[in-house]
Amino acid sequence: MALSDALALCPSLATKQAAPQKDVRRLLQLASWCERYSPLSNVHDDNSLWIDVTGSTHLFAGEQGLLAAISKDFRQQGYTVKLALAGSFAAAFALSHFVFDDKAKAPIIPSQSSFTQLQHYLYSLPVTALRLHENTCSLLHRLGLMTLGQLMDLPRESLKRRFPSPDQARSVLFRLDQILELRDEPLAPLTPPVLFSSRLRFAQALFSKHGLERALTRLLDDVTWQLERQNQGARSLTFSLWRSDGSTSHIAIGTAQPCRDKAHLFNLFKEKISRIEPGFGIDVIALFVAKAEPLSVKQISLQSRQKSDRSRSPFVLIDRLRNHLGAQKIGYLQALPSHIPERAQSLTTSSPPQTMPPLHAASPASPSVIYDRPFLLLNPPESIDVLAPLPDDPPLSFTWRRVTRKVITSNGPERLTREWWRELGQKPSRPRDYYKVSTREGGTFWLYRNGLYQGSEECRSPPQWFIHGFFG
Amino acid sequence: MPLENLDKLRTQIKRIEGHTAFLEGARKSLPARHPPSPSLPAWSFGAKEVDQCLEHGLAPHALHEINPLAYKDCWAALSFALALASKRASFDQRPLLWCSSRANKSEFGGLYGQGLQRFNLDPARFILIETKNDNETAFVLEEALKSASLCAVIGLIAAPGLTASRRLSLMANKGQTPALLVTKPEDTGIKNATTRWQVASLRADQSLFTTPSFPQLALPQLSWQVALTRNSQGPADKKWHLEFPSYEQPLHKSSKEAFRFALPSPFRNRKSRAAA
Repeated sequence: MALSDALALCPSLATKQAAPQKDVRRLLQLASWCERYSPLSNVHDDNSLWIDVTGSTHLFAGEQGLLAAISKDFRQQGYTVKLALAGSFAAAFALSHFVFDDKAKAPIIPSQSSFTQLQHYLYSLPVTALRLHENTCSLLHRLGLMTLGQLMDLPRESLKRRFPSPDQARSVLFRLDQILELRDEPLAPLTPPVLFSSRLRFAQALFSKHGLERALTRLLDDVTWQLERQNQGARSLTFSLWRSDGSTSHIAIGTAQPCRDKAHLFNLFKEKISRIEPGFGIDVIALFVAKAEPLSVKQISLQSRQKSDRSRSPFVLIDRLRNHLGAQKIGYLQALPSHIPERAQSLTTSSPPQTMPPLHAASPASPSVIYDRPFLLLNPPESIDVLAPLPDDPPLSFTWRRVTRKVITSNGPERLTREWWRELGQKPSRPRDYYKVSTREGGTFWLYRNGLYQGSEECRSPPQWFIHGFFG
Repeated sequence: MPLENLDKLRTQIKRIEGHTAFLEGARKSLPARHPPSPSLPAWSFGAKEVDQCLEHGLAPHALHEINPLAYKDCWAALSFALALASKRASFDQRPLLWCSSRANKSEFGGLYGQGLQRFNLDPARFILIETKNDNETAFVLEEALKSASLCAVIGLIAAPGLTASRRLSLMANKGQTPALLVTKPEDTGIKNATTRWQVASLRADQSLFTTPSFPQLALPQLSWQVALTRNSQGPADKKWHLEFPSYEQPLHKSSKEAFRFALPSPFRNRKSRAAA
């Protein structure tokens, strides 16, 4: 029905623009808020959330109590939810989406129920509850299979024969197994499982920044003690806090090296903590270690001279800059096996490389040719206008960034042809002729001509000139 | 006496600790740490006339400004900074930090590892940092100097103001780390810099240097026209033509000999060298 038709029928209809992206964001927030029921929860699709409550129902006085609590908490936030609880994700999904019960009571398949009981619960659900492809669903309908009960009653072998393709049959059986708890369904929770954690609850909501820092120190004490017992060092930590109005904040830091130095970790957090708004007060704070690596116990130095050893390591600086500027801003040069200049090196941001192999190692026995490369590279190369004799002489002058430079001496060409093994099935890139030119204004540049003037397939378009690097 | 014993014990403990594989790995990835500067040799040029102007070489705990004479000399200034860093890196094994803003990177290009071999610098020793603007660059430089864990800090930055440069110079002093600041040609100079080098590129045909071992290379090597316009360690207002020969030296010579600054040879020697 079009909106105008609807308004004609009911003039007082209230309308609002749909904002699907906002919905998705809010749903994610809700999923992370659901961590109060269980650490494992995530968004499933546009309008459903799942929570894995295995082992946490007793905290809410059983399964009924848990569902009642969830329903009440959501109602307080202004949401109406349809809840269901079952032994498998597939069954819970089916019950929550396809049981239309007038009574407000949420459907539950108790955890102690047997296979026949489970079948009984699912008997009357439609086949669409299996999360199958549309075509498969319509095929099942055409075959007269409307409910899961009908599907379950059929022998598996005969079911297979009814489908045109074995894939379709397999998908139906696969989903059926999942809903009957015969097959596991992997689920990815929103927050990765934590290795070490520490939690602090406050009797009264916390407001002051100073108090938060003190509390963080206590959490760090606890976590570093846990790490030390297991000979581990943290690589990434998350500091989470829950406010009394239901909002949450998470601060994540990473370290370049396994670390359990309290002072260093605290310094990394300190700057970000100052930006946190306490709002209506903070109820709970927690510290999680999501990634840890082995770190052996260190000998405590006897002399004060070595006390500052850790603070003199460049990793402390790298950690600090990474957490301040963002991990992508700090890089290390890494050599790659390629002769195309811009491909021969990459910037890694993960960890410092051991050593960089030289391009052509020159040994005393064979003083080989040194391939001359610029120390500064323009990436991507910039286009230049060039005055150059045909077909492959170095340029006489070139114009770059609206400045014309006259070439006095030059060196070249050094021809770098394409890497055919990278370009299988693509349009081949053109060979490049590199020239090292020295200009009358001073300065030595690395120019190249993309393509050749002669040659059969290069005739389509004239070659272009680029500037690629600087020799100082 | 007790100190010697302690040192002995410490080495013993280190040897015992060394057996675990992961510790070995962690140590390998960690650049070898050197004791703080007093035991290091002087940060000198290797060229006599220049070293005479600097007492005990360049000050290792101060700011050094490298200023291009004109816009076209910016790349020369950058290569001069790298050559200076290379001199220090030859005896200090700690990593080097290169910091430039995004705008500077797209204007002057990014550091290219294979080209660094001409400076006798190992690309793996560089920590590259890209910042949003010069304010952020100043922050990074300050943190890097303060950390006292680096061989040298090289920054591309428009000359910072009085307060910022004072902070930088204090941090350099505190961390015993030198900062090489490559400024813009229009900058009038950093007040707190210990030395200020004005660098211009040399025209190929003006160059007084010859390349006897590679006569087919008509191009000049790394060479600059350098003016020392400020120097709190000795006399200022000196001018030289300097080069950083990397091809001329036989490759099997030790890197310490091969990679040093050099002045042009006297006139009477030039002809014979060219003939050779």
